[in-house]
Amino acid sequence: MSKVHEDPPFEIYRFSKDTFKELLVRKSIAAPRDVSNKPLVVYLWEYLDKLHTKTILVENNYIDRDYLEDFAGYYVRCFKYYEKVCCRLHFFCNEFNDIEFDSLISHGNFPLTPGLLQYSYLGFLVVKRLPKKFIGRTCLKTYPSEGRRDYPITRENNVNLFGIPLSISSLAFQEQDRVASACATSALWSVFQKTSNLFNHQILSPVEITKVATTHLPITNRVFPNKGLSIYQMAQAIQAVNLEPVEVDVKPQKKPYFEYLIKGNLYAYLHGGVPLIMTFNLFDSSSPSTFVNDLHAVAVTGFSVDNTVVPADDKGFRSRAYRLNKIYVHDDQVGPFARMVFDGNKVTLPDGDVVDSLSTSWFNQDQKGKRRAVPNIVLIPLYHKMRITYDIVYPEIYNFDKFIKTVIISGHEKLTQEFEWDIYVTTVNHLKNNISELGLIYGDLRKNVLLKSMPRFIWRATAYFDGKPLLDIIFDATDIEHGVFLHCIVEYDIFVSNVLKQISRVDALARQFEGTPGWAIIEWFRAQPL
Amino acid sequence: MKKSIVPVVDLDKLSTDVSTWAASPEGQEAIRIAIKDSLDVAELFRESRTVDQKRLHEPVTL
Repeated sequence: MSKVHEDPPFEIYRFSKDTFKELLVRKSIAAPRDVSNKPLVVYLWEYLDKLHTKTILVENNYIDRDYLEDFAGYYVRCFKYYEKVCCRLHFFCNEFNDIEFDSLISHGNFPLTPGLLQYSYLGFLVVKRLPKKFIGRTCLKTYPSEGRRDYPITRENNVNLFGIPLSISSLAFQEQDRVASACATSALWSVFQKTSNLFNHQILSPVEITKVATTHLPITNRVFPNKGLSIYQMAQAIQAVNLEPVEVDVKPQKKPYFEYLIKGNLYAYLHGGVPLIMTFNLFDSSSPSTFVNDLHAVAVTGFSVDNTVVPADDKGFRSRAYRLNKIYVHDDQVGPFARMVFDGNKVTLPDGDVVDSLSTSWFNQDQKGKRRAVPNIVLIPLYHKMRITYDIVYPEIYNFDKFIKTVIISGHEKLTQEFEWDIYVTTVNHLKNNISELGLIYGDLRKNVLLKSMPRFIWRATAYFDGKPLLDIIFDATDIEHGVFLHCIVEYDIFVSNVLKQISRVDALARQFEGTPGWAIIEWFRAQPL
Repeated sequence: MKKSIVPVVDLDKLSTDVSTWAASPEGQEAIRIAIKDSLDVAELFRESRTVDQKRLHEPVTL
């Protein structure tokens, strides 16, 4: 008889480091040393501890859909017996015991209630009964926002715990098993959890992702056990779920504008709820230092902003994206929501180039200090109708901002203060909800905006001054690049609008901007009645 | 609409001032630099989308 049938349906433990590790040993088939020495286990324990975890509820005999696919695709054909049944650990920030939970199951209430369980629910972790790579689907609560953290790449994950409905807002994570998946597949798997929700496509398991990625672009080595994919193959997997892969080169040595380029792209899509994959090389600063040529891939799931800095580039253009100082990533070898920091530190590459880098949670080989990440390519999975990308919208706003600044240069500095632009992709529903909630416009103006027919996907560029929105420039994200994809402008400040209308009518100035990016915005203001 | 950040100004005078400035040598130079900056940034962003095909075949294996 297998181990599965010997376990009771549930077990309850008080959370501690030793209990957590012991449970992982017992519920997987990993050796104790493989659990204790695993950085991912240490990361997860610390993460759960910071969430103030008090209780672990073990749900034995759990069937996990993603693992079942991987099991059917690989493990079932091994001569050695591997179990298809997993175990799921649930985490709570309140304390309760077996008797109280049993009472809830038997009587449906008192002293524990479904509401209390939901209130204290911190998420779950699936343990696969495998050696070494046993961390399966994991959904954990995010850290509190505290006015700086933002996790837009999460979704509601519904859980049914013996008839008790629970829900956790998170993004699923799992470690690579080096059989069905390496880092590339794991990052794609996490990203698809969100895009399936956003763009309504099927969710592929890791083994399915690896298969579709290598169908048309086979690798010379065997596909399974999988050692990794190329960016080309990752793009192929994105197309397999009917999304379009957009690749952005963010390699710093090629881009003097690196910081603004990468922060702008990350923010514009993340803020709009679109997840991204970032690939990077790791730089090990052990002595002697080494640059790892093979790339690593992570799913970018959130960001943190610094509200104390002036978010301006070296030419004075202010963008909310430049406040971004950290990103949170699902790094399959570090953990969920792992932090990478834009700390300004540079590294010297083998060719002598000194380039920007981000901090990581990867230890150096000598275990002293952490490795640095040198970004390479960002891969963005977009709905096929989203044809206008950030690189097209940004210059429009950048040039329009330059046009506005000419008024400041001409001596009217009080007229148009330094605008801070918030540029991101969004949907018409989000835009209209937000305009309704803002309460900045009323009457016909509000009615005209809310009743206006708009495309489903739009780019929104809001000009702020001192935290107050002045105008919203809306672009049609489904239009063609060489057309006029400006859709409309929503004005919140009548005097600012009047100044913009007036200077747009000054031919000596405006005509010089004709044909440059942003001309459509100037033309729009020229056409509005004063 | 809420109170504006912009003080009440004479829009006709603004128009004349901007027009005069834009036609002046310093205005012309400032506008030329502004447009050049914008076109440089647009080019940089355009380049970021043209990834060398060879790099797309680099292994992502860690």
